[in-house]
Amino acid sequence: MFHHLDDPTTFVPDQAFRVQVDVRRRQLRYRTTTGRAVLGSLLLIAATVGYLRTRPDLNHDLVVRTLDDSASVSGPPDSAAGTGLTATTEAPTSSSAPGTMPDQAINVLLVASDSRQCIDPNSPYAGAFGTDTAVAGERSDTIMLLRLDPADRSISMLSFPRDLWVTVAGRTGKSRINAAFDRTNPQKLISTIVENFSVPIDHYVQVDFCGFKDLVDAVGGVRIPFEFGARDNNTGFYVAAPECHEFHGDEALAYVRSRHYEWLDPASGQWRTDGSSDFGRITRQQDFVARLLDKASATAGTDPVVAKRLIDIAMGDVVTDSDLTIGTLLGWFETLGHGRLGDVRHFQIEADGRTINGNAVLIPRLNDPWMVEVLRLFRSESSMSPSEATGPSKPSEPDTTGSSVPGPILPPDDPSCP
Amino acid sequence: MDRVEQPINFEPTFDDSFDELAALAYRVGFRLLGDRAEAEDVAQETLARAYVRWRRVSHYPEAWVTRVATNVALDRLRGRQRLRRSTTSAAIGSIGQSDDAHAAERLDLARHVAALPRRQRQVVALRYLADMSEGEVARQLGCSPGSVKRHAHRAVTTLRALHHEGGI
Repeated sequence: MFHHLDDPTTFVPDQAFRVQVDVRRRQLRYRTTTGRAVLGSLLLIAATVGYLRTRPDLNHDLVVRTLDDSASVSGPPDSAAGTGLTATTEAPTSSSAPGTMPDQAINVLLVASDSRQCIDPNSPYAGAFGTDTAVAGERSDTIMLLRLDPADRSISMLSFPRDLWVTVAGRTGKSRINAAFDRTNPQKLISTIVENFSVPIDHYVQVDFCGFKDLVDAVGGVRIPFEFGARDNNTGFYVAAPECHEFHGDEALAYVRSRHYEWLDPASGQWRTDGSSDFGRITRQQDFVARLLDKASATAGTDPVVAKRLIDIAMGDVVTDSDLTIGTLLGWFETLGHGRLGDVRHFQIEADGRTINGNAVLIPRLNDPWMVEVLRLFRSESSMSPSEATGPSKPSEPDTTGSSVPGPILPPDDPSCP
Repeated sequence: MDRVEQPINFEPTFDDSFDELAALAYRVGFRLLGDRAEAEDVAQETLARAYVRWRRVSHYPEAWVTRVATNVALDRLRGRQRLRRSTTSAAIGSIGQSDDAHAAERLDLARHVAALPRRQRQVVALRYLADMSEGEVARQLGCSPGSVKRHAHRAVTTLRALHHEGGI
């Protein structure tokens, strides 16, 4: 009806246009973040007070982070500033019933991203973070799906190796799953995983190196049992002899990022290389994250100082979707998992190593019977009870490097290392 | 804690939608303002706002962008108090002499759209500025197609009555 009023020349947004949008949205973002920071401080106080009042069932009280866009800028665009505060402060009680485990199983995507911003170059573990050129820009370093199922009280983890060769959402052709990571647009990675593996993702948590270090430190360190001495000369972590080693900050990063893991063979007294590279690393990461979550959910429940620190970190360094707070996640984890670390099930996407255009990549083995079963579990199509799990057998060794020396990549579950 | 209702995986990303939404906002801006630079400003402002709250916007991006672009364009007109002036404006010149008649029509359109009741304005914006079908407008606004037809009819009647020549 009004076509005659159109611009006769077709409008195509050019680079200058995009830059202008970018500048403007930063202004807008700044305004909302400043508002949210103030709001955050108020909520933190409210939360701490609430925390002290209802200590016995603590998992209810970390739930304060309603600092997301949807709460503060909902409604018609121009009314956001006026209504944000009320809407936000009421949100935790009305909408999310914090601490209550949902009826159905939930899948939470955990992403840890590369970022050198918080790395102290003088740290002995600076090697864990690559050289400047190698780590230019931010990438996803770790991608894992955490599944919490209230029905059988099970906790499962599924890791996605970063060299996984997949179709990135919105693109044609394939690339490494790593390429789907966009710090400002989590949806891209979420869609990529959903589209390639058909597993639902209910929630999203993204932590960068700073956030990870802070989380480890906030809970007072994470203890890992070592059956043998272990080291990585590239990242700089070093455990001389069998022990229960407590990791903090930078050293924790050096451990979970280790790709050139070596262990001290007591029989020969020689250092031996764990040839499983990224797969060994994933196994260690899953173990570490499970222990970190376990410690966080346990200590936040008894120590208000830890609880407060976790809230601080959740506000600063951790990105989550609008319906999730770190407190909620820890609450669920505690409900299901505390003290049952040995029962956490660890999986990863099985894959075959290939070289495509000179890049070493991993082709997922989606039709592998074991993989099918694992993916069904994450789709709620199977509970993968022990009887079912005996059907298809887990492949013994991932065929990634050809000649891998199977090493003790996973520390034993030692009860004396709480 | 409710399970996320909408599967979060099916929402389009901001980047993916950028070109399409920018073009939509630009068209709305141009139909109301008739000036390239101003229409670009409208589109930039709209897209920036959409980015900041994309999580919500992504559920209904076209409707949201149309609504906000309309409001931004109308605000610009108000800001310059053009609505209170006569229909000729020096600012509307960049697209050439032949568009003077359109310039007047744009102003009438903008003035009248601004004067419509809220629901009718939404329908007019989606139906006639964003060129959505009746069914699409109904889906976006969450009402029945019959209701869209009714609002559109009333709005157009009003616009025609206000617009002497009935040129719409």
